[in-house]
Amino acid sequence: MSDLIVALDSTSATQLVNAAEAALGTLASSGSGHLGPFGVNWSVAANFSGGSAGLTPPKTISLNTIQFNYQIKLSFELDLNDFLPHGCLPQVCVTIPFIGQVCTPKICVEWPTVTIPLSYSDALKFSADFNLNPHLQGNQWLVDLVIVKVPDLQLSLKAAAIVTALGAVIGAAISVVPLIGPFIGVVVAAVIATIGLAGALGLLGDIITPFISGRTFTLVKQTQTLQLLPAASALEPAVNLTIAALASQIAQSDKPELVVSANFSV
Amino acid sequence: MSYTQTDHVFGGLGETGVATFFKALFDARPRYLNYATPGLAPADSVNVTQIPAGPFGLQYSIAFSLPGIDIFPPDTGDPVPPATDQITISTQAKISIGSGSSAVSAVLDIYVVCSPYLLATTSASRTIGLRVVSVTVLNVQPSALAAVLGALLQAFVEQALANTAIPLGALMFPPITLVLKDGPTAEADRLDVRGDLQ
Amino acid sequence: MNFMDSKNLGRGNLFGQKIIAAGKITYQIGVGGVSPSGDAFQVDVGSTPNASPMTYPIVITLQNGHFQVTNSPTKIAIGDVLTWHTEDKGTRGFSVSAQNTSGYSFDSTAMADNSVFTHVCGHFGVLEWTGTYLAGGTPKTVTGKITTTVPKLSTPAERVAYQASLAGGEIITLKDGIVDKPVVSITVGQTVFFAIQSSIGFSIVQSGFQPQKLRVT
Repeated sequence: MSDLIVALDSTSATQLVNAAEAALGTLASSGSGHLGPFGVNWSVAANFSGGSAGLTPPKTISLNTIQFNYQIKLSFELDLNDFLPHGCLPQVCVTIPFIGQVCTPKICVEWPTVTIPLSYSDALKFSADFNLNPHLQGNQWLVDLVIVKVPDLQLSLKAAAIVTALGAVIGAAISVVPLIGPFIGVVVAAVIATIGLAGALGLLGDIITPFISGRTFTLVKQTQTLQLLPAASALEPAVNLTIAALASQIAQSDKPELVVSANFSV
Repeated sequence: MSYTQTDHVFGGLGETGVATFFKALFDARPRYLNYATPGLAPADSVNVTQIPAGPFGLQYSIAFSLPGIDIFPPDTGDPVPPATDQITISTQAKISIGSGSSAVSAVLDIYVVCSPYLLATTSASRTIGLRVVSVTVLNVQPSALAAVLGALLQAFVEQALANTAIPLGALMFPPITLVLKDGPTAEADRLDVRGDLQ
Repeated sequence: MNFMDSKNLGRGNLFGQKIIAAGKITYQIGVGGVSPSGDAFQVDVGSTPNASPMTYPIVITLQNGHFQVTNSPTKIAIGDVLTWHTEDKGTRGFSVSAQNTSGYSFDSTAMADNSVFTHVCGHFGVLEWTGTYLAGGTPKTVTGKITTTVPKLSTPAERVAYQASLAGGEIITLKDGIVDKPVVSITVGQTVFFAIQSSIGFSIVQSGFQPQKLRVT
């Protein structure tokens, strides 16, 4: 029999998982990729929250509707000459009664390159199985949950929402270009079509998948040396135990339980 | 039957766990097992607790061996088996009277039956204490003498047990923190506590 | 970019002046709003007017820190019109000032009779402008609004119609402190001509702009 047994049912296991998500905090990453044909630089801040734990022997905890919250910032360069014809405003000649004929010159327009910035926040819900992994790391016993495999993340709706947000951002970013007025709709439609849902989906997948692939949550963190009692006086030194072994599993009786057991040595 | 039963969190320290806790405790602080009057222990130390001399300057000492643990249900062959929610602690007490070459001593087999209880109610210092139910001295005749010796030793046993309170936090792995609802209970060869996750 | 200010002329602007005095005129191109500090060019104005007055479009460029002109005539007749504009994106904020030996002068930063300032409206929305002039030595103001609309370009016919409309403009005339068209509406890309029939020290600056609400379909 084990020296110490700790057990949690699915109610408290859910609480423990939610605490582990909060302890993980905000994860950040950045990189460069492609939005359709456009090269983009992106950065993302993300965290996990929510979800409920289902316990399945021998060592599986399924997390149902866990939420992945993310905020993506990205920017790319849009050369308007790729989307608009080079054009010239024609010469304008008027006759002013008290002056005579006055003609303005022809003005040819070269379009600038505009930086398009997008800041976009959303949340993705998914469910996945995780396996218990108790192990010693340095002088700490850890009971980790490790995702078995990345589930189908259903990113299409999220990608579509980003494309919609991009439309508004592109329109606003290019509206400062003189003479662009009549062409804003043209440019937005053309750029969105060029990127396409596939482009947004590809980039979103590239950004989000690494956060979920191999995802680990630490449920238990216990120092190998357990201080049972601190020193109480000069004649009463601290009392320590060593946790020589620690194991974890899902046990099923009248209800399933997460069980962590340990053996001591002095 | 599940560990948590109608609660959500369970912690249980097994017989071997309690035994290891006692070993760690008494290895670090042997003074809890050894008591001696000034003629035999000139001062308090890590190894010995000094006690006042007896009447008329009587010098004596009492030393307990590392105790054995039997949590309900009783182990086979336990001469003083624990009943429901009880623990039997077995030890040997060496009693010495007098000092120097004229000292006389005897070693007695002692069985202490205790029941576990919650010692403090503030969450910062909750511990599991052991309350003495009975002290039995074996292999001494007549039985009236055994009873007298048991009564004499009870004060020392209670003093030693007062120092063996088990911190409730030792029954959990961080960050798991227990809000106690049921226990401590001596059952199934373990000291069990149950409750909710904080 | 495309901010309307007659004291600082750039690509999309033109300043024109009908010359009503004979003699040798010397004009200088300088940095707008500050007394001219540029190179000087000469034009001889003859005293016999042409049957049909001529207009000479002078083109300004900035090279190695000096303003250069092309198409600048050496001889014109009284009543002819000189205009100045630049085709360089980099030449911003120029002004023209001139005088002859008999006391006749003109200055693009303080426009007077028979002068014109043009501006291409590149942003769509409502542009508010303020004109400042001198009356009896005292500065006075006039204000106006130019609404720039976005044309429909969904059909080829609409696109052709828009292209044709760009060859036309709107003329706003200022006479003795009165603006004949304080409110005008044009299509983005069209040109507004501010024609000063009579005034002293007139300048126009954009005093407000409300962009048209964006609708992305």
